[in-house]
Amino acid sequence: MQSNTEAFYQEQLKRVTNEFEDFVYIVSHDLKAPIRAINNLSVWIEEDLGDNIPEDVKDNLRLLRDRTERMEKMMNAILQLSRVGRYDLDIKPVDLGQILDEIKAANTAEHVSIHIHQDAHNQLFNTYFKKFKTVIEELVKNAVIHNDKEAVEITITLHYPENNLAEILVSDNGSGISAQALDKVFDIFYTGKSKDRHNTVGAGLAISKKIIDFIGGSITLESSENSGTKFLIKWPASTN
Amino acid sequence: MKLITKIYVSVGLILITFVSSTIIYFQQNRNVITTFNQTLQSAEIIKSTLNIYRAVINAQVGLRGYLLTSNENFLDSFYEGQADYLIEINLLKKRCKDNPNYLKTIKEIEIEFLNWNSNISEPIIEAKRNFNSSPESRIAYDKLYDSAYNKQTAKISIDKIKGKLKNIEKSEIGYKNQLVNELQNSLEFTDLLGLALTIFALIIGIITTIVLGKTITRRINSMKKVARNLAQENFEVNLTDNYHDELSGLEASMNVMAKKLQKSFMRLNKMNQELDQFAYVVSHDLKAPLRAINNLAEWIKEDIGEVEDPEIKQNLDLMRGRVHRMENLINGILEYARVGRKKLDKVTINVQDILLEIVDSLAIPSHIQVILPETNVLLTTEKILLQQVLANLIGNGIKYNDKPAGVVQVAIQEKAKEVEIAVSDNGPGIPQEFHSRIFGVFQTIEARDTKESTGIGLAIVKKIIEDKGGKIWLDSEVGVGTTFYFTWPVKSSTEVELLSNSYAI
Repeated sequence: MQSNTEAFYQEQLKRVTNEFEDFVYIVSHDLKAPIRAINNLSVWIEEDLGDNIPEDVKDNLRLLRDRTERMEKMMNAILQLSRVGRYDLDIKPVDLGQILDEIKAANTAEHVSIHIHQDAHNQLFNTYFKKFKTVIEELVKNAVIHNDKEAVEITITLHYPENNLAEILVSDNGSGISAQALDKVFDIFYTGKSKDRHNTVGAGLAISKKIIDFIGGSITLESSENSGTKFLIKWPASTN
Repeated sequence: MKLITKIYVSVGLILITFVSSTIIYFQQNRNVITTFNQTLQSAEIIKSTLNIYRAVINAQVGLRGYLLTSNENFLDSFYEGQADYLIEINLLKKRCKDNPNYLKTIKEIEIEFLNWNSNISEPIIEAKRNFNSSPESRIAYDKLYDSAYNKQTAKISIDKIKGKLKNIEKSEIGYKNQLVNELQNSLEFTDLLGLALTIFALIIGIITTIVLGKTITRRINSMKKVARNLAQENFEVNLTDNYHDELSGLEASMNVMAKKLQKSFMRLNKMNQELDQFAYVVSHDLKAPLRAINNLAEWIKEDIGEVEDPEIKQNLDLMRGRVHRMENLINGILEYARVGRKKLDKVTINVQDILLEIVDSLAIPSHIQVILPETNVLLTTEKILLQQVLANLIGNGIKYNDKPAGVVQVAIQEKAKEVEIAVSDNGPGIPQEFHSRIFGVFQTIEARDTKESTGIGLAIVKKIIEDKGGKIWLDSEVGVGTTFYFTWPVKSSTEVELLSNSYAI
């Protein structure tokens, strides 16, 4: 009988998983199509109006397209979130420090400086290296977006307390997170007060958290308003 | 120890007990027969000694009679005694052939008798017969008589024989009594042993039955409880014992099972929560910008009101149509996602009443007739869900009906564990290739804009039915009509499982 119950749960699980996939499919196809149609229609309307287009109509059309883009971004974020368990699943031994260096090198914004500290150079660590890169990138992006200083300082510290565990500390000199927002930052589409300023949909931390849950690690943060934010990630190595 | 080993050991012990009991009785029987034979033998020996004794006495008395009376008739008795003696002594010898002690004594008796016979009896008889022939003869007889009777040599000799015979007899009687005693003791011992063995077997049997029965029942009961807990989604179970037998193995697998179930259950819960979150995200976070788009489109329309370009107007209308459609889709997704994840109260209702309510709530066009079944079927179930399913199917039958006289008919059939409901219409029918696709999310057969439908209705219907443990299928012929059949279990699938499980244990 247990196997019956087990089968029952497995079936339910399969059903919910299918539903989840349905969902993602719906979001990516069925909802994206009308959104793109709306976007196109707004472009056509603008073209049809020609040169004698009133200023407020122009503004509204721009705003409308902003909204459609935003919706598209949100749908893409949902897709990305749902794909955490199915994409970028390659595992190989990599030098995490090198990935951090790559991220630092990719930063072109002049007002942003990234500092990297690590206690073991060239140590190889078996993991989902693509996912690792995504998480750090999202955290860096997050640190830049939520920063009100003229010079953004981001410090990434990497060390290995154990052979099979990496600890990454990402801290910034940003505006910090208020106490009541602390438990919401990992929710999808939570943007705090930065939505309009930065045109972000607020999915980066949700995706990072999902990745870290997926690999069996943990992410915690420490922050108070105006004192910057520290994210501490415990990233376990994968066994192939 | 394994349970089956315990049972084997116990039954084995009982069987061994009974077999030994039987063997002991056989042994005893043989003992009795042997002892009986020995006792008979013993009695024969004793009889022989008595016969010899008598024969010797006869011979002696005959001799004395002749010597006193000179009557030759007395000698008959003497010879008779002698003959008897010879017969009996040989018999005795035969009977005592296994006893060297007796044979030795018999040898001594024979020597003594021979001595008495040839040295005392024969010469004195001879002398007596010659008594009157001469004075020397008389003197010779007197001398012999004197030696035999006055000096008692004859008596000593006979007494010796008698003594030895008595010895054999005495020893034999003792032996016989001993045999009888031993037999008595051995019989008593066998009885006791048999009784003891039977009691022993009984006790083992009773103890085994009680102990094994109790432990097995107790442990099966605890497992039953665990199974029931598992069925009721309570996974905090851990069976422990230190028996190390088959049931322990079963308990261990149950523990593993419980852990696995718990893991599955938690994963399921997590997935459900995630899906809930998704539904929320889709409904709330996607709807907000959509509402903004709607407002902006409205404002744009107002602002360019004076522009009389029909194309712009058409595009604006189209745009608002899209927004509206998206809103419908999002609401549909939300509804679909929420099916089965809200605990609903069960009520006992008459399906007939639900159908009447639905017919009342649907705006039925005048050209369509809805025929309801006449049977009353009582069900204890989540009313809202069944209502949703029936309203959707009947609504579809009405909405898509293309005949001038449309008919939608509902039939209901009660079965053992479920009711089967059929909703048929005489509408356009559904081509075979769409039969499996119509239950998918966002599938409509007609072009999207001809009917105000998001196509999510049948997906929800299917999800509700399968959630309840039922099935849905259809029969359709293009141009003739469609019949949707579905089963609605009287008990939910988990309940059925739970019940059958408790019976199975």
